Amino acid sequence: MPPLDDLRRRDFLRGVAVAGAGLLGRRVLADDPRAKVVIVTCADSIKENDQADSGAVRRMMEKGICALAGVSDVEGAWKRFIRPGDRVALVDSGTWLNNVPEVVVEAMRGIRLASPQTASLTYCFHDDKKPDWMAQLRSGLQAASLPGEVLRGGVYTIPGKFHEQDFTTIVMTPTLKSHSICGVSGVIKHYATMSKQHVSVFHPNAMETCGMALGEEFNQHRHLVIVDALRFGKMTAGPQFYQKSLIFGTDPVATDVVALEVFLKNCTTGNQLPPDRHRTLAGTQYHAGISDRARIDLTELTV
Amino acid sequence: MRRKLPGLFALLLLGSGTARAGDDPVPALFGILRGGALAPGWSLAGKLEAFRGEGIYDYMDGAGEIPRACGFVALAAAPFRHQGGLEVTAEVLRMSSDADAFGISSLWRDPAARKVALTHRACLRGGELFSWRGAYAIAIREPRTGRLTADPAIALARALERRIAAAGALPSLLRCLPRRGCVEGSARYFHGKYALDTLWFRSDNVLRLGADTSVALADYSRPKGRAGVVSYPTKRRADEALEGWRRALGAARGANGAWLVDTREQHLGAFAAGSRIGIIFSAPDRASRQSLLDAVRAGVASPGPAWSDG
Repeated sequence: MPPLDDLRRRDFLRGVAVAGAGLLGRRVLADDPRAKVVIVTCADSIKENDQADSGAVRRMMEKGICALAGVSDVEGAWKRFIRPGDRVALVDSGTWLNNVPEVVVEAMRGIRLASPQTASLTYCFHDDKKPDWMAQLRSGLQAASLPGEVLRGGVYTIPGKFHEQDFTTIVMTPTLKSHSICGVSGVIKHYATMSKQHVSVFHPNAMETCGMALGEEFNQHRHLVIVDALRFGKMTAGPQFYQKSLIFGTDPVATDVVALEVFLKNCTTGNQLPPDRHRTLAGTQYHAGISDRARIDLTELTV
Repeated sequence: MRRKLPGLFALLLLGSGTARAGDDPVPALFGILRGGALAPGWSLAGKLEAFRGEGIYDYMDGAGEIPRACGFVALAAAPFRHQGGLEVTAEVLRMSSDADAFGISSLWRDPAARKVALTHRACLRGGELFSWRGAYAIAIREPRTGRLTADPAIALARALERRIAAAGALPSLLRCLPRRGCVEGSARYFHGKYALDTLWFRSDNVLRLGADTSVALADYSRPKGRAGVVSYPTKRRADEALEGWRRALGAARGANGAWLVDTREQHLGAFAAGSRIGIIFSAPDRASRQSLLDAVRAGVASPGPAWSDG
């Protein structure tokens, strides 16, 4: 089934669940369609001096999006997720463990292949704090023949201003790192940082409520998540492990559950915080996606 | 301890040991940061920034909860570049007291990381170096590659510390903990639940921690376990917290007024003594728990000498 139809069906079932609260709700969600997540790994994608190979990243992006869409044509694959009338926000990883710029560039390149109405790279206030990173990003966009006008500051602020925009689709490229209040940061926490509420609202108790932002503020958007797992971070200390993977999914919760699973194979949290807790609650309490690993189909590919 | 220093220049450049309500800590923080440029081979590579109180979220978002759980007052940061090519961010945090500067440093450090002799024992791990002096905690970070060259980083930290007047003392609450068997570099000190969560997570604030409570804890190798002392403003608050802990964990009564919890993996225990609670957060067996309970009880009743390092 095409991904867009998948999304519509899930929205429909979610509506049925809400409408039939108590009678059908949990039962229908339990029978919800399975989520699909794709991991693409390339040994040549990045060196341990943090230098990425843009050609390898492009091949990973193309292979991943095609596998997620279930088609072999790259442009056709992106069009499964991005429609002509869409107004797309590409959201970068934010501060501390910045994206490898090549990942953001390739994501924007893919989005534009699908010819949406608008495509904006809503970067997280790096102008003053990360001028070198911004310079690399601008250079990468230019090398990929992408206009600098896609860059849009002032939206991904803390608190976020996404609610003031008319975006239909969120594409994001979060990174994962061990984290001092949620165990391991990732996709769901990233949505909380985009909330119209200050993210500190979601901080208590290992960020147990952070799925609320995804489940309630971003439930009218369509989602495409591309986890930048080229390297995983260690709190504020930079990379701790070069995983050399990208992780693709349209269900942010399911993608985050898989990303955490990959993270924990080679990385430590460094504290006693349960990193799966907010992910599980995002699925079970905020109905923001599938957190049950048994209902997530995983495809692993190499380039 | 706070020192009186002659002249406005000294007040601007030299940090004091204890923050005073109404002081603007930022001029002193900037003075300390500018001292980094005096380190051999180092120069300031950008503008100085400062964040006060809840403004720390604009700098480090969720990670800011940990300093806030440790008596955070203000933070200043600046990028530095070394002639050898190393680029770092230096952060100086003004905390409420010497004890709190030790406290945030103790939460950041890793007992398994390389230890460096600065004013106090500092910690170098991956792309970060942590130290403290007086009421100031210092972090030097290289987050891009996560690799920090030791010698230049230590020289920079040393230059920053030179701008801070008093060396500072470790929290007196540590004196209630046994020194014997303590894992080097494992002692922690803080006030709020966010910090405890990183060491012993529960979704409820079972110990009723807040800005007016203090926690000292440490890991032990023999007997093995994690033991701590929580200090409350009043005996009543301590009794209420112990009662909450006992009920939440379903503790059973033990000897000498202690309450005990036994699970398949862990053995916990707690007791109240005046406005303090002694807690064994984890022990692998009952005998280790009892030894730690006895040692903490003795320390609470008759605190030992001041700790020179944690």
